Amino acid sequence: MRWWWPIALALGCTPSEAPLLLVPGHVVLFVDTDAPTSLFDRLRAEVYAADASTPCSTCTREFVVDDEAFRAGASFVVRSEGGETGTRVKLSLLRAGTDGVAGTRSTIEQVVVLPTQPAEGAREVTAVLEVESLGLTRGSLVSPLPVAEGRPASSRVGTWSGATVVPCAGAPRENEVCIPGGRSGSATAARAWACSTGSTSGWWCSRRSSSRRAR
Amino acid sequence: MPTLRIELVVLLLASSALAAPPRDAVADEAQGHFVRGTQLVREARWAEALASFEKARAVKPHPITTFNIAACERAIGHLTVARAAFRQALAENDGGQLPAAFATEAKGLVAELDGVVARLALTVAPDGVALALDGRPLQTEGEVKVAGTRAPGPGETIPSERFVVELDPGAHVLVFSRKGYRDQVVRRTLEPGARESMTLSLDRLPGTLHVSSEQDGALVTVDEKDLGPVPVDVLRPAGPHLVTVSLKGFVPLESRVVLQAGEETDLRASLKPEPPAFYTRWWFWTGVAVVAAGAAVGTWAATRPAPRTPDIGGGSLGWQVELP
Repeated sequence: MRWWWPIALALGCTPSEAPLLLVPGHVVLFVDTDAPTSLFDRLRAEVYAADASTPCSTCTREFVVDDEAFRAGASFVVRSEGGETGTRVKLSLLRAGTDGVAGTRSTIEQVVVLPTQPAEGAREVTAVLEVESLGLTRGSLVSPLPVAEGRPASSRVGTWSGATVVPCAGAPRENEVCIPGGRSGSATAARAWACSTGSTSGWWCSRRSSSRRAR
Repeated sequence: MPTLRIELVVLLLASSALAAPPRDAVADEAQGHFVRGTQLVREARWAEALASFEKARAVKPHPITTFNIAACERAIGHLTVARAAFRQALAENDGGQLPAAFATEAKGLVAELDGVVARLALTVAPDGVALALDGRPLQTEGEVKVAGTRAPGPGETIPSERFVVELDPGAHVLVFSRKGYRDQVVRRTLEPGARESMTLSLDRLPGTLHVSSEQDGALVTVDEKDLGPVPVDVLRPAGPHLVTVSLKGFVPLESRVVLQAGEETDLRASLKPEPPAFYTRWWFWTGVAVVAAGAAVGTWAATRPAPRTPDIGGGSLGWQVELP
């Protein structure tokens, strides 16, 4: 028996890393959309505690989003110390104007209620902002929409049918470029952004003139 | 001269017996021994004459009989005995039974014997020695011890270291003895009238020490000298000795033993097993384990990083909303 073994034992027992506590319960809210990010480039989230009519001071955040952000599983975490239920989240897909403020008509907005926070670990839920709700606010603080359990298997970003790429037919005439486009049924909306931001529908657009109707 | 005196006494006794009225049988027996003694004297058969006179005195003591005994002892050469007998005859003559001439003669012979008897001044160490001289104890007469006057027997203790013995000239055997000491026998021849001295010291007898042990193979040392394993029998001078009995695995036993001279001392050691070393005891290592565990826990507690809450992150957008 050596005299130094107690010391070695003591040193050997010294932890090299701090122990981890249990993962506290929280909710991971994944946000997905079928809209192409060429239409929206901002995601705003407002979190409301139960029975609150306004978000708390630090419960509003606006993110710059793109296709890659959604494909990566755009998400954030909501956690309450007491594990309260009834937490609501108002999600908005926006397009920043020149002043950075998006108009409501070009917003896809939805109010969802989060499920009960688990005692331990994460609970993943998903809210999908669909283009069909453009200009509307689905759900409200009083009657929020439920969220889907789990995270999206894959992002639906850009899958809105109106954003389906339609190849240009034929050859462009003089001074025309091909703008691959899609849905023709939403002509009003399509006209609103044709030739201005790049087109989602098959429009021929002249470089010299504002637009030229495709055939 | 003694012969003449005794014959004279015989005549006197015979005449007195004739003149006396009829006597009892005891007197007749005494007279018979007396007459026999006188006849033996005439034949110079001193020892036999002495025996007859002693028989006569045993039956009926008489100063003349004692005088004749003294005369016989003198003739034999037992001078101290003769002197004592003459003195006794004089002492017994309180009734005037001993003729005046014989009384005077007795005194003269006592004086003569005083000069002929040898004197030996003894200095013996230690004191308290018993002395037997020629197989007899000594007779104490004042400051002097007289040899040859007592019946044969063992020597008697003489309290003092210095004393004077009067004894017949010639060869003698002196036996000095004392408990715990070796007997000492001295042969000494003294001339008539010798005045000699002698100093001697008795040697102490050693004591026998027997050492044994309940444990085989135990080693014995006496006065720091190794004597080997038990059992051990040794002779050592009387007195204190340091005895040690030791055996590996046992607590050594050390004892101071006082040996008595001429006696045997038996020392039996009962060794007790050594208590096991503290580091072989369970409680020691239990304590060490407890201390080590405490040190380990203390070290761990003192150095461990504080428990940390797992980072739950903020999702891919990096935002975590913490509701109050």
